[in-house]
Amino acid sequence: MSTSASTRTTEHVQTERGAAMSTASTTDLHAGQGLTAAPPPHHDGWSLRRVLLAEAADELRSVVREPITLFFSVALPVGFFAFFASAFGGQQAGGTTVAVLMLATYGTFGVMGTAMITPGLSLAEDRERGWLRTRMVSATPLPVVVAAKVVATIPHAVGVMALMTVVAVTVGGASLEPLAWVRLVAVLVVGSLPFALLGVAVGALASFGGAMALLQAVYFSTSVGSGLLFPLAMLPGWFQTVAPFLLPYHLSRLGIAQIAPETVTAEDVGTSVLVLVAATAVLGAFAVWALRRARS
Amino acid sequence: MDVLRVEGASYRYGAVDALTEVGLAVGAGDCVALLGPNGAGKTTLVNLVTGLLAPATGTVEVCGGDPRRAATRRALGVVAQSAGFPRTFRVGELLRSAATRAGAPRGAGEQALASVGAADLAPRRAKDLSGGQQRRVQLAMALVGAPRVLVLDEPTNGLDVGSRHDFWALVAARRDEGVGVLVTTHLMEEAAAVAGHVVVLDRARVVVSGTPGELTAAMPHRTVSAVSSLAPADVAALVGAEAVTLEGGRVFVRTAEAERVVRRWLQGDATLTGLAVASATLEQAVAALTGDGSPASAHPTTPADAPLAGARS
Repeated sequence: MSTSASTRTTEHVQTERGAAMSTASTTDLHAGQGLTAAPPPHHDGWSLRRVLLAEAADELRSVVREPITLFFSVALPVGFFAFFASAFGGQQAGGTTVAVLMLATYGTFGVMGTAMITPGLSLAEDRERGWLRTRMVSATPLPVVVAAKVVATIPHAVGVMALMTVVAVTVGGASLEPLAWVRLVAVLVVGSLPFALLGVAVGALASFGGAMALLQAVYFSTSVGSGLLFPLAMLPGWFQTVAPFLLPYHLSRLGIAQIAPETVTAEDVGTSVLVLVAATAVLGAFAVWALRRARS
Repeated sequence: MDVLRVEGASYRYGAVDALTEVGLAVGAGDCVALLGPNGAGKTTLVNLVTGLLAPATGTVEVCGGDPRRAATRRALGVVAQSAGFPRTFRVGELLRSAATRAGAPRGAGEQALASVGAADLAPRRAKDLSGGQQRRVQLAMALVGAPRVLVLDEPTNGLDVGSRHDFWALVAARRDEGVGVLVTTHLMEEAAAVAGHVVVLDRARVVVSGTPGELTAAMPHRTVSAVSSLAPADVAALVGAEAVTLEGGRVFVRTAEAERVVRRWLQGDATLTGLAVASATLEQAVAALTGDGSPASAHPTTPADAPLAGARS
């Protein structure tokens, strides 16, 4: 601290020996030292794109190095898919093979799990360890940190879809136009945004263990309820009543519309788009509120 | 020029006042120690300064900017109480990412690591490092963006004496290069060694501020100690002092009249050896100012309390 005298509201008290000491100065600042404009940082190479990419690369690196995350987000959905595709993939359904339809439903299962669970658990763990705090006091805005967690799920999800496609072709004998596959992956990745927002909100509020339990419960219950793992026709009748109220159902309908458009009406597509857009808005607001709460 | 300025800052957690109209300033090349008992408001003030919280009233400015803005925080380097490093990352990777986040050029991470004497830690997993090594890595991450202000929150908690010594020497070097430093610590003699100014918080308010010398000089009592053949009660009767204790074979007399006590003690005990007179420590001064009567605060000066070398007093 500079040595100029504090002259504004500084009081002085006499100690037992009579020595004076400045005390209790609520504005104990250095008089006459006005603030100047902020000097530029020593380094001026900061760029949002560079930071976002670096953050996303870090996230992806941590996912790849984490066996539990890889198991739940890659091995589990691909393993389920391989099992059921080998059993039923060759059957015909609505002018296409079951393996192709399963690519949309199990693809929804895989992509939504990646989008929801990976950033959610990553955020919860960062909070719990104190690493999020370190990031929050850094020069990276918190929204960029969180966005990077979501962006990092894109290559992860595409990888899951690629693995499922290899299985569908080799085990289930599926045949799919490359363009239809690209549309399917694009729709599932974009349509998984509300799930990512839900994961972020839970990760911002719950402990790592709590987030794990909650997100897994939501993941599996809504997946089964939406007919992603087993066709709704095979399940009790009330599943067909409940399914339209669940987000994964609508995402899978949009996925199916890309590879077997004859099985989904335009009205159904419109409804599913509206539901997912509305859910994105609501869950986005929830995520913003949760992050603000985590910050304070 | 002040690189950090807090003026009239208040903050409440519900009905509890965490800070009440607190003010302080840190100039370039200065080190200010924030002291006070647990719950005094130190962590809340650090949270205001690092942009985690916004003051309910008053202002907090880092290099003239609001630390709630990410761009302002580019001038800030922070060492938190806990590192919380991700489990799977190596030190070199953390430093490279920190350099990118700070907008520093390629290679700045390695340079920062080398500047704190930790270049050899680059290939190690951060979570596997010792406490002292983690603090070095934290400091390197804080320095990688060439900050104007360093905020250190209890940075030497849990470190051994050697690691603490090394850490403060690194901080003192940055301070001498012109970086403003705000540090909170419970190890007050270390604070006295590295900080040119001390701000004492108690019950959400600044109760005193000044140089460490001003604070200790204001304390009327000194401690006279020696190895004596007399029992503490006999020493008390002989020298006319009330606060006499026996610790580690030495008799300690706390008094406002050290010279008179020394004369009487020498006259009354011909076998007296190892006579020493110590002024009040910063810890004793702060304890007196904040009413913290913990036993640790009341202990007289011992060699272990001596200021660390390599840091400015």
